[in-house]
Amino acid sequence: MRRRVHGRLSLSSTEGTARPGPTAERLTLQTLVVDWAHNEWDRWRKFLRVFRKSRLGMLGLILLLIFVFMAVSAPLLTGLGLLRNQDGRLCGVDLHPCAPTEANLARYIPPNGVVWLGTDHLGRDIFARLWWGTQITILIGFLASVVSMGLGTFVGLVAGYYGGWIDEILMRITDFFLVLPTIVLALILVSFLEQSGGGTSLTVAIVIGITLWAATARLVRSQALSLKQRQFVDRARAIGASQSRIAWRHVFPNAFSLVFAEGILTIAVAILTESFLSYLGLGPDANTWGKMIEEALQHSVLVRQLTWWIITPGLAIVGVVLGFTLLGYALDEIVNPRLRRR
Amino acid sequence: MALLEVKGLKTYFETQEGEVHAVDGVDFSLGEGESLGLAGESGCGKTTAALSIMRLLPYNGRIVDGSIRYMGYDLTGMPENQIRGIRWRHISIIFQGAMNALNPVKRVGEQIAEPIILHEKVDSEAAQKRVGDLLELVGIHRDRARDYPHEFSGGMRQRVMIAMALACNPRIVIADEPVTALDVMIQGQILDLLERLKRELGLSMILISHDLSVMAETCDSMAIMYAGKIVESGGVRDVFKRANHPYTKDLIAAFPDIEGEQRLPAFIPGLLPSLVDPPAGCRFHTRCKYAWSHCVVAEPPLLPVAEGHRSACHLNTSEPPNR
Repeated sequence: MRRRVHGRLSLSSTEGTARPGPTAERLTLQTLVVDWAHNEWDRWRKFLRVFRKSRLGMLGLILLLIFVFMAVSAPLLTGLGLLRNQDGRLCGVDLHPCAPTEANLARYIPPNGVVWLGTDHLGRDIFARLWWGTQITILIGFLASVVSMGLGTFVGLVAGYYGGWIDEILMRITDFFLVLPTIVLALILVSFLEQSGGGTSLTVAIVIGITLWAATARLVRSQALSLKQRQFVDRARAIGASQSRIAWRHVFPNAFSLVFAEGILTIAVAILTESFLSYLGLGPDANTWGKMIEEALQHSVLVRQLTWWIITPGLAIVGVVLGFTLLGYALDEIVNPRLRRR
Repeated sequence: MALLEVKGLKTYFETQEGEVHAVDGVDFSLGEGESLGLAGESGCGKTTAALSIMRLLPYNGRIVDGSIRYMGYDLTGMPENQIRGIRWRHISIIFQGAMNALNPVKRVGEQIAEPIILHEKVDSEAAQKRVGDLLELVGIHRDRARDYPHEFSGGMRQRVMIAMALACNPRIVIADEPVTALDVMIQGQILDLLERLKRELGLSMILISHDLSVMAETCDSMAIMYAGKIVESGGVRDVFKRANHPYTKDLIAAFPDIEGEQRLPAFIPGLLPSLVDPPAGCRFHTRCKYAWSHCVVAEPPLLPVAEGHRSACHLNTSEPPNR
């Protein structure tokens, strides 16, 4: 039940006064907060009701919750002794950390009861690396998506709203990024940044973001083009709002849900791109899943039949990409007017 | 001196078919506390005239000629940053179709507060208080400022638009078809509300509608427009009871009469002429049952027919030939 008092149809309460007096009813902070929470919860529930109907969306959400749990719990589980530290050190038969000079007995151990997913060429526990790798992999995907959404939204909104020659110039730049193969561009940018001391997770995320914004710019531009014809834009102009205020305060909020859904989908693409860059040896110097696969391939796992080394990070990448994609499409279906089935 | 004085206003639109003469030489004036009705069928230039006053024309429209004087200042040549200061503080507008004039993703209270925050140096608490007062003024509970537009009915949204129009205490409110999309019950309520606000706040109002009964109820004077020109203007009583122009007579005849005999309302045959290439002479001659050769050649001037009542028809100045 909502505690809302509906507007009265009678006008008698204000009849005969030139200006309305103070209301009898005082709003306390408490009622304000309670009401606000109530309204927000209500809207959230309405959204969930629609979202729950999408089975694939729910599957994606569950997958992602698992990965998020892995990412968040890694330090905790290490603290409890269930996981090894971030580089998954596991040296010697008794599983003690090993010194570099020591003959490494724990290399290439196949999965067993102690090391569930086996060990790699340095004797590091693949299970621990996998668990820890979730953090950085998702983080890079998320950052890249934020960069890409920010750039794409800015360019798309400015192009679509202002139009004219600004639109022309921005869209030709967008076209350039759109036709250029993502990987090639990323390779060039990463190697360029690496020369100036790059190669960190942050620079790789930014590079991926730069290569992925063009599609978003197109999407936002098309939205802005249609939204600026709506009457509320005329009204905003009429009340004396400036152009940039109309663009950001009136047009953008209407396109936000679409950008959000697009952002979730972009995380998936960004994670794939990151894996691919890592596979080519241009990834961040961090323990990502792509890095694990690259190292595995460098040690010719396929020839030596060390398949455990490569299968699990591969599956993890597929899982997280699948999760983001399913969730993204489910959200897109809800917020994108062209795909909406309601 | 009148508060707002429009003289010889011409507003044209650039289109692919050519220049559309949407408003082609319109004069009217609005005094302090007065309300003026602009009536006419769809596409005759009523809204364009209103948008010209606010300088809110779409990109392809421009004011070609004429002057719009508000308290002595000419609005037609005013630079954009100055006109922005006039909008809402001095002249505000209630848009046609309130359903679409509210931003669907912003709370109603925020939207009403926006002009206040833009035009006046007030903190958000004072603005919120004013929003509550404005909502009560139009008969909506102040708590509903936190709701979104889709949670309001059509009539309530129209009230919200009215509250928004009053946010900065303007002197002139232009109401563009304020009740068109509403049912008759709500129409009555909204018109009562406008009437009351006009009286209490001393507003001047320009009411635009194609519904003559709405005009009759709320306006002091009215102007009938046809194809971008005013064909008849005067006090509401004069125009209704002593209609002079054939177009006005036809418009009035097109309304069913509650008290009179039961008959189908008359209609005006033909269509509004193209405004790209308007007919020469009197623009109504293509549809006028009294038209004769003179009407095709010469444009009738808007001349007084009685005190404060003017009409543009050749019938007033010359005799038609016998048929």
